[in-house]
Amino acid sequence: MLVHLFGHLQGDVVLRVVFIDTGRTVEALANQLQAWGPELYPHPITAATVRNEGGMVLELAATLTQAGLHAGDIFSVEGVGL
Amino acid sequence: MPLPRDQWLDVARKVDWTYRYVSEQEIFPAEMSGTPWLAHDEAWSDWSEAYRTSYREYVQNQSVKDLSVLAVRDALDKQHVREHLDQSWLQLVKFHLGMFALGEYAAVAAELRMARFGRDSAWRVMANLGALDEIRHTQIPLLIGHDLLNVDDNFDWTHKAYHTDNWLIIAARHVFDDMFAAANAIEIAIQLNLVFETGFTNLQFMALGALADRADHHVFEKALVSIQTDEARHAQIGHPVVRALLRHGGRDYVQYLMDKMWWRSWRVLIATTGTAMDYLTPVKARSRSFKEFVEEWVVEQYMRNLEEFSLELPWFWPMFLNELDDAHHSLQVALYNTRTLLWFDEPSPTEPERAWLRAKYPSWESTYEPIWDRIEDAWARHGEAASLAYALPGICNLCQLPTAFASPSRNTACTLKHDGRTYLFCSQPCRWIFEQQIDRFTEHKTLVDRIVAGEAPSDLIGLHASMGHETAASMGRDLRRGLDQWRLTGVPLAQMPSA
Repeated sequence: MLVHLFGHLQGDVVLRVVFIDTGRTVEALANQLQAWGPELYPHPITAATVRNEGGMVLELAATLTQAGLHAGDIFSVEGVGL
Repeated sequence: MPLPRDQWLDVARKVDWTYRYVSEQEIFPAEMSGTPWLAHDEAWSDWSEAYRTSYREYVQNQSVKDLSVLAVRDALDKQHVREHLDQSWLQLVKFHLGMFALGEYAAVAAELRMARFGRDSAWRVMANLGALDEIRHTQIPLLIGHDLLNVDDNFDWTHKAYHTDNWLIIAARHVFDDMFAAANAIEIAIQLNLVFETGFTNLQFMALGALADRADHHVFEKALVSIQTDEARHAQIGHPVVRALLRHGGRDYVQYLMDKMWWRSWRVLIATTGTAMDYLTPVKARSRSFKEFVEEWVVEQYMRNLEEFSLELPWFWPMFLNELDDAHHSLQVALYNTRTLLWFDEPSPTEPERAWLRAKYPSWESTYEPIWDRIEDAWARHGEAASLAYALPGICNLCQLPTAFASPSRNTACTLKHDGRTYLFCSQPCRWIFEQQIDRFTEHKTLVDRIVAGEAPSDLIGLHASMGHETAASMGRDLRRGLDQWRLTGVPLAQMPSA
């Protein structure tokens, strides 16, 4: 199911809207957030840690459903080298 | 021999009488007059404010003020605008006119609501004059915007903006609906007159007026200062209303209304004044920073108000103070990245502007300058398109502004789950305000909510059109470069007076 989430990429100053299927992985979610912020991150980064709004670290291989991410939720991505 | 003023003034102001055919509660229902509902003889009969103006005096004073503004307008012909005004400053003016001209017009109805449902005749007289003020505050910006149409077609947003679903205008309508359009007389007096007008319009009109003078835009300066003299008068409506409520058990309600509207007003001012003062004002015209203006013109005044009424600082005061160094800088990045969805152009800071920002905000160099460097790098490597956002920012379900108030290391956004839906907020105070009147706010959909629900276009061209940007020329762009250079050739850069 396609849902919208709000992602904060470390070093960014806005939450960005990401539309993604709940069957995709947390890692794919992090990559999509980075891909949609190219004006801030012209050099690709490697996602290291993804957290939910409560600060819990999410398993990168888990699907969004398995990770408990639902429409309208906030997540944050911390990358290597930022 | 005419009577001295003191002997006749109250005959014109204090004209309450005893109702014989209907009750006081029927004439002044709580739904329109506000709560706590208090009998006139008990709570309102001594209502008074400092100006105590009669209609005759009002007309005389306003006539002089209007003539003063028009005289400056007549003296400075359009050639002056073309030759002396910086393009950056014109964007600031265009932004301001679009955000406020028809907002002032909406305030006419608010003042008239108090003129009918205010609980004392002196309050109603004052609100009648306030309604005339707000008509004037609509007409003057419309006149200035109209005069500037031959410089830039997008000055038609002075009138057009509030008739569109542009996202900044949705945010303005949302707060003004809450502040006065969907409020009763007591709420209007406290939220509009006391908090917004005594607390914040000094910044929007007096401080901006000072910058307008330094930017050589004397018609705008004269208009802003003239408008603020009206605001200072009818803003006085709030004080006696608060005093009456405090005497009759309304302390918690007053504290709530003031806290709520302080935060909501702050959010509007970040967007309209914060970004405009620190990024659109030409460097040579800048005197103080937005933060310095806020500390002097807003914080001090508001502290005096709280002290006068022995009220507490809002619970979120430390968050407000923390935002002074960050919030409008973050929002500026978001506005620049989404500039095609604005009716004015946005700059990427030049080196002199960066130097000014570094001097005024010691943390700017380490916090925001790297972001602007990355944007410049993206433009250099991949062209202008790489400097634009690919994704929409999340929109706060209360203030309707982009959730862009975090410094890069501190994300302040949060959510609330209610009735199976998740609501997004830029900050804890916005979520707190939403929770206090949850039935009032849940039905309103943000721009993102509308796109998700299929009620607004999800494609970029459709989205632009839905916000009123039907043509490329009506979209904001980089102020100094990029596409459509022809738009910049009409207005040369200004020679600013020395600081």
